[in-house]
Amino acid sequence: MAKLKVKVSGKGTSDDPFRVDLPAYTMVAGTEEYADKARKILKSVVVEIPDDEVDDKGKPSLEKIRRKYKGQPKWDRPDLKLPK
Amino acid sequence: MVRMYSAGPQASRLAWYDRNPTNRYQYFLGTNLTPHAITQRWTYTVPTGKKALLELAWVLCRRMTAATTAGRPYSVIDYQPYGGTEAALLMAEVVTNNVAETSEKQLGQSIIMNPGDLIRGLTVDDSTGGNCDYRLIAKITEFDA
Repeated sequence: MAKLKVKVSGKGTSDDPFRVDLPAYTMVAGTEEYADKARKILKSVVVEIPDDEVDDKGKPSLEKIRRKYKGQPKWDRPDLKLPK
Repeated sequence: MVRMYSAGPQASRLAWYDRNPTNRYQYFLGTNLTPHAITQRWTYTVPTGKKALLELAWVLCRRMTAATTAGRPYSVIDYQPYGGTEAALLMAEVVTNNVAETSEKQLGQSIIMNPGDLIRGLTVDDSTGGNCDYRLIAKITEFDA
């Protein structure tokens, strides 16, 4: 598993929870950084992602994710953007 | 002389556990977490050309210190079939403010997931003050479809 710090998306609501927009990941507990702690707005977190979804530098790879999830509209699309 | 042959076993396909099985383990162990908005702690999507057997899943939520105003902290594992609507598979919720109050659930039966299906683990605590422990665990075997 590759470990990296990424920005979190979402609003923290039931239909738009705080999350990382990757097909497979695990947040590492205790690594959460908040944009506003009082309002519970999550900013970034360290996640673990499968080795076959990262490039040589350990970053999420568009090409590998598109190939692994080929034909799945959410991940196999030309305008796919991965979290930084 | 005429020989009669039965069809016999088909040119057999390997059993699922012999089709390039790969273990996947999704887990989140949150200890003494303060109140937080709903957060997707992990997710797993079945890759194209694969199937996945969700063999084990376990969720737990335990109040560790009392809240000033208790909410309803919970941990949940959702399942969403490809192109379908998601539904809670397991949910552990604490509805009192008692320290050590624990709720836990385990999956009663394995399920097969098809390409594009996903599961995800989430936690939330809408209390004011206090903290809780959370566990979200799933063991999956992925294999060639």
